[in-house]
Amino acid sequence: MSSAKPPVLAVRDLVVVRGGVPVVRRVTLEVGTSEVMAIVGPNGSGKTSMLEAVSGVVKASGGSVALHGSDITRASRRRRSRLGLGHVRQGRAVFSDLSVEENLRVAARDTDPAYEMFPELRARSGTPARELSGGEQQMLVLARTLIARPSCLLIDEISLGLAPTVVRRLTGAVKEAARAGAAVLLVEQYTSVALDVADVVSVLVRGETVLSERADVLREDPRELQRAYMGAAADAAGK
Amino acid sequence: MTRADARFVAVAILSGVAISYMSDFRIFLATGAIITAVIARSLGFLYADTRMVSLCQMSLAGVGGWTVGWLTLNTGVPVEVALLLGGVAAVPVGVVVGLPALRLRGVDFAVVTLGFAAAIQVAVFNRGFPGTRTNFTVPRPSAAVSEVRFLWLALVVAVLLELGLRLLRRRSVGIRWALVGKSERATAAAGHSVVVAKLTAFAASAFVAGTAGGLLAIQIGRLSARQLEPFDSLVVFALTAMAGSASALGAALAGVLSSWMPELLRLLGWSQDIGPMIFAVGAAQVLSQGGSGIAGQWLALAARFGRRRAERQPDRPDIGHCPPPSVRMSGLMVEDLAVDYGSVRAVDGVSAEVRPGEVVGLIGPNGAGKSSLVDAVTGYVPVSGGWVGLGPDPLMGMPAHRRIRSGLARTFQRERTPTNLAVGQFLAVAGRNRTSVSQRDWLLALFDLPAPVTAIAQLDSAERRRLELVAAFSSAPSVALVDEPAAGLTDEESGRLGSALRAVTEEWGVGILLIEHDLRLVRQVCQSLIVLDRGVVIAAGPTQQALADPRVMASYLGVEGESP
Amino acid sequence: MIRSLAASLGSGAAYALFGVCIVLVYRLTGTLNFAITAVGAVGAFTMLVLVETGTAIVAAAAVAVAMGAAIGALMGTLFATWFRDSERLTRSTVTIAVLLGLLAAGFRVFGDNPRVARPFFGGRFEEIAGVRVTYDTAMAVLVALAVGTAASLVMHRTRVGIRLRAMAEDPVTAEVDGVPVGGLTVAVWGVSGAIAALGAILVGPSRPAAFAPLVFLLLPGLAAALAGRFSRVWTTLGTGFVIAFLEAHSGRFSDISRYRGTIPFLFILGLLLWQRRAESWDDAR
Repeated sequence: MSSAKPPVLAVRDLVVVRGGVPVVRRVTLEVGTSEVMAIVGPNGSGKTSMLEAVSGVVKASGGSVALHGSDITRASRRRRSRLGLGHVRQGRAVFSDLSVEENLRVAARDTDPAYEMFPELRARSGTPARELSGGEQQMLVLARTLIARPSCLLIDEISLGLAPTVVRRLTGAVKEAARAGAAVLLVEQYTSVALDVADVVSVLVRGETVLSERADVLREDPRELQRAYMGAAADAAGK
Repeated sequence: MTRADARFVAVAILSGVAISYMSDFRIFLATGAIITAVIARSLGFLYADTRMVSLCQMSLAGVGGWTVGWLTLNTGVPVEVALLLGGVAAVPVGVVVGLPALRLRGVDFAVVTLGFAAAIQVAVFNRGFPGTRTNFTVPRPSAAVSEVRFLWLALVVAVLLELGLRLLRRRSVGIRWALVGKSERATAAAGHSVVVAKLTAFAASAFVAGTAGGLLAIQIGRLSARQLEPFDSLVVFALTAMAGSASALGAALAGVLSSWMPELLRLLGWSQDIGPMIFAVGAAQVLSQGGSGIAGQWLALAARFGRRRAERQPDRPDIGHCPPPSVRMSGLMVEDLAVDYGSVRAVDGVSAEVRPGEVVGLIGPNGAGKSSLVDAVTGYVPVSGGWVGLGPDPLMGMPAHRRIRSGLARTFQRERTPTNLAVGQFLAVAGRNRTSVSQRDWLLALFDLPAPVTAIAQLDSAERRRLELVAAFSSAPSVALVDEPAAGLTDEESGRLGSALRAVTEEWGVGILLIEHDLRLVRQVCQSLIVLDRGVVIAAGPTQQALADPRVMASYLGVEGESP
Repeated sequence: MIRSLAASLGSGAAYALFGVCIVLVYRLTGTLNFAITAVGAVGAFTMLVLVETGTAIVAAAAVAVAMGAAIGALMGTLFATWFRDSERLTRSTVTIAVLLGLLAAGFRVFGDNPRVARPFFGGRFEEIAGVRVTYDTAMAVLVALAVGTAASLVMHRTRVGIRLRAMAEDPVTAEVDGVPVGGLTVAVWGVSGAIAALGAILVGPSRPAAFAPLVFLLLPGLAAALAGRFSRVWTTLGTGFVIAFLEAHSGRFSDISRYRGTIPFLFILGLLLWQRRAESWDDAR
C-alpha cells in the first residue's frame, strides 16, 4: 500500500512474557481496511497472547501497537474499545448469566443488527446465554462484538469445537464485516477455515512468525502451509 | 535443626536479653507482643500455606485460656501442664471450625469462621471465664512469677512452637499444607487426601493459638470476654496481613506493632485513638504494594541481594540406567466410559487400554474430550457410565487420591506445581516413599531439572511442567496420564522430552497415556494412538496407521466432508 | 411469636440493608466490605448531631445518606485506583483496616456515649392484632423492601444494570466490550454507602445508639449476605429479617436465650453445607 494513510492496525516487534517466558517474540504485522489476516499455529504458539496484547487484556512487554496511527500500547482496555477495537475472546466469552438480549445490550443499545446477522438468536433473545448451544454462543459473542461497529476486529478461534456449517455462518459474518470496511485479525487452529476467510495467512510457531503468505497462493499449494504448521508429521501422514 | 532455625533461636535469645533490661511495665508489654506474635503466626502460616482465612483466631486462643483457667481452678494440674493442655483443648475445636473448609472456600469460609467467633463469644466467653465470680486468678508457674522470668517463659514457648511448626512444615504433613493451598487437584494427584491436609493444618493452627491463649491467661491472671471479641480476630488478621503473614518475622512485627503502638503514642504525647487511623492508612499503603506485607517486602529485598541462581546439578554427560522401583506394574483398562457435563456429553463410550511399558497417545482437536477422559479415569469428575480398572482391581467409586495411591499418576494441562516449596519437598510428598533418592535424582537428571534444594519459584514454566512429570513418575506409577507436556516447547526441548518419556517407560515399565497436540512428539514416543473427536473414538491403532487415517487429518485440519 | 416478629422488624430491616450492601459490593466488584456498617454509622451519627443542633429530621437524614454515599465513593475510588489488580482477599483485608480507622475516627468525633435517636414519627404506632407497630418500624420495612426492589429493577431492567452484571461475571471481557469498569466500581461503592447509612439510621430508634454497637451489626449483615451466597439480593434481604426474628424470639426462652447469638450462625452454616454437599474442587480444570 502506497497511500499515506496509516494501516488500521500496526503491530511492531510485539513481545509478550507470561510466567517469565516470552510467548510472543517480536511479532510485526499490519492489517488494512477491509483486509482479513489469519494467524494459524499449533496450541501454545502464542496466538492468543498476541491478540490479548493488542486489545489490552495482557500487557505487552515490548514493541508497540498502533490503531489508525495512534499508539495504544499502554492505553486502557476501554480506551482501545472506544477507538474502534473489538475482540472476540477465546472460549465463547458470553456473559453466561445474562440473556441473549442482555449480552448484546452490554455492547450497544441497538441490538437489531445482531438479529439480522443471526436470525436464530431472535427466538432465543430471553434465554440465558449459558443455555445456548456452542454454535449459538459463538454467534452471540461475534454479534455482540460486531454491533459495536469496530473498525478493527480481533477474533480468537472462532471455529473451536463447532460443526463446519456453523463455522461457515460465522465466517460469513466476518467477511461481511470486512467488506463493510473493518480490518480483521483472526487466530485459527484450523488452516482450512483460515484459508477460506483470510486474504493473508501467517503461521506462528513458538511465538515467532515462520510463514506469511497470500491466502490465494496457499490455496493453490497448501503443502508449504502444512509443513510449517505440523512439521514432519504432516509430511509423513501425507505419504 | 537447620541454619535458619539456629539463626532464629539466636535472634530470639538476643531479643530476650535486650528486653530483660527494660522496666517491668515494658517487659510486660513485650511479653504481650510475643503472645500476639504467636497468634499472628498461627493464622499467618495457615493462610500462607493453605490459603484458608481464619477470622476466629482470638476465639481459639480464648479456648486455650479458658481451659487453662478451668484446669488450674478445678484440678491440681500444675500450670505448666495446663498450658500444654490448653493448646490441646483448642485442637478439636479448631478441627470442628475447619470442617466447613472441606466445602466452603474463600470469603464464604472466612465469614463462617467469623460467625464461629461470634457464636463462641455469646455461648461461652460471655458467661464468664472460670473463676470470674470468685475472683480467682490463674497462678504463674513458681519459676516464672516475676515479669522477667515470665517473659522468658513466653519466649521459650514461642520459640518451641515456631521450631515445631518449622519441623512439621519440612515433613510430609506440613508440605501437604502448602500443596493443598496451591491446588486441591494437585494434592489429590500427589496421592494425598485434601481432607486430611486441611484439617491437620487447622489443628496445628488451633494448637498454636490455644497455647498463646493459655499464656495470655497466665500473664494477666484471668481472661475476659472483652479481649476476645470477633472484632479482635478481625484486627489481628488485618494486622498480620499488613505485617506479613508468611514468616515468623511478619508475626513478630505484628506483635510489636500491636503492643507498642499505644506506648509509642503515649511517648509522643499523641491521643490513643490516632493509632487505628495510622494503622488504616499504613495497611492500605502496604497492601497496595501486594499481599505479602511488610516482612514479605523486606525478605524479598534481602533475597535480591543474596540471590542465588538455581543450582544446577553438575554436568551429566551420561544419565545412564536406573533400576526400576520394586513395584508391580499393572495395565489400565477403560471400558465404555461416558462423562456428562449437564446436558453435554463430553466423553461418549470410550474404551482404551494402556499396558505397562507402553505409551499410548490420546489426540484430537480442542474440545474433543481428552482431558475429560483423564479426569474421569483418575476420579476427578463423576462418570455417567462405563468401567475403569488397574490390573484386576476396579477403581470405580474411589476418590481421586486413592486411585492415585492404587498406581495411577497424572499431570495437568495447566501446570500446578506448588511455587512455595522446594523441588525436593514437592517430590517427597508426591513420591510417597515409593522411589529411592537415587531414583529421584535419576528422574531429575533425565528431565534436566536442578537440584532438589532449588525453590520451585525459581523455575521457569517449562521446567515446572517437567517437574510435574517427575513428580508423577516419582511415585513409580503403573500408568501415568500426562496432559500436553510439550505445549509451548521448542522443537529441541520437545525432542528431549520425548527421549526422557521413553527412558522412563523402557527402564521402569511405566505405562503412559499421553495427550498431545505436538504430532512430532506423538510419533516419537507413542506405540499406538487413540483419536478422539467430540467425545467419540474416531480412530485407534498403531501410530503410523492412525495418523494416516483420512478422518484424523480431517478432524485436525478441519477439512470438511469427512468420510463416514 | 407475633410480638417477637413485630419487635424484630426494625433490626431486621437494618440487617437486611447491611446484607444487601455487602452483596452488591462483593458481587459487582469482588471486595468483601467489612467497613460497611462503619460507613453507615458515620452517616447515622452525622444525622444525630444535626438533629441535636436543630436541623429538621428529614433534612438531617438526607445529609446522612449523602455522607454515606460520599465515604463509599471515596473507598470505591481507592479500590478502583490502587487495588485494581489485587487479590480479592487483599482488597477485603484493606476494608478491615478502613473499618478500624473509621471506628477510631467515629469515637473521636462522636464520642463514646450513647445518643438518643429521635423517632421520625414521634413514636406514633398502630395496634395490629394486639401488637404495637410503630410508624418508624413500618417505614424501616418499607425502605428495606424498596431498596431490594430498586436493586432488582436496576440490575435487570436497565442498561447500567446489565453492564454491572456483565462486569461482575467477567470484568476483563466487559471492559474489552466497552464497559467503563472503573466508573461503575466507584458508583457501586457510593450507592452501597448510601444504603448502609439508611440502614444505620433506621435501626437507630429501636436500640440505644452508640457508635461501636452500631458498627458490630456487621455480623448479622455478613450472616445475611452469606446466606445469599454473596450474590442474591432477595435471599439476603429475607435472611436479615429471619435473623432478627430468631434473635428476638429465642430471647423468650431462657434455656436457649444465652445461645441465641449462635442460632443464625448454625442455621446458615447448615444451609450452606447442604447446598454444596456434592464434592467439588477448588478450581476449574
